[in-house]
Amino acid sequence: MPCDGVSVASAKVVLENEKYMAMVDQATIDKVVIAYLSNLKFQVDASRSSNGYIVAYDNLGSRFTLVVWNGRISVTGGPAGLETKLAELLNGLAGKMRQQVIIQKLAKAGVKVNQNQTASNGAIVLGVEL
Amino acid sequence: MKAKIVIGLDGSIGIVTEQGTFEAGSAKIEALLEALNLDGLDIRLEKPVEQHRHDEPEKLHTHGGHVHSH
Repeated sequence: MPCDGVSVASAKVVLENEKYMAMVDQATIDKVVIAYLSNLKFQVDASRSSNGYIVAYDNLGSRFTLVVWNGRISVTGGPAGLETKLAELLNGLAGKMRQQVIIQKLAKAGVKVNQNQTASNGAIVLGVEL
Repeated sequence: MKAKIVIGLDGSIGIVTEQGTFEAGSAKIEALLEALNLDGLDIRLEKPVEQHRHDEPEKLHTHGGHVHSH
């Protein structure tokens, strides 16, 4: 096939993260949040409190609680900046979920994927047949 | 028609055709975006489909989820 240059398009899916976070089950969210806290050497209670909060203790043994709903997180007590860091973490989860939704919809639109790689910035690079 | 699609964590989608004419590539890209829109994705084209010319299309790479060619 002759080639007179490539066509380039740049587009953006305009939907709020909450829609994609709703597709992530609570167990996955808990797992990611608890793994993050454990990585910081914070102690996390194995089970959720009766009202659905995650209970954890910082390095000084101070108790704090977290709750995740609709893709948002709220931290009561705990180290400064923790809520922001966890919000970024959940944002990343929503981004990954959105990538999967787009891939599914590409397949549904008849796009044949020959190659699938993940770039260092987290972007998924697909070699496809349109 | 062979193409590369880059999907960023921020919802960005870059599409670059790698063969064929600009007109054919542009039509394929627009049809694909239209199909995705009809399937429930709210997609905003950030600028019209552009034509890029160079000798080595395999040197395409990404910056922040977008595809650029040099």
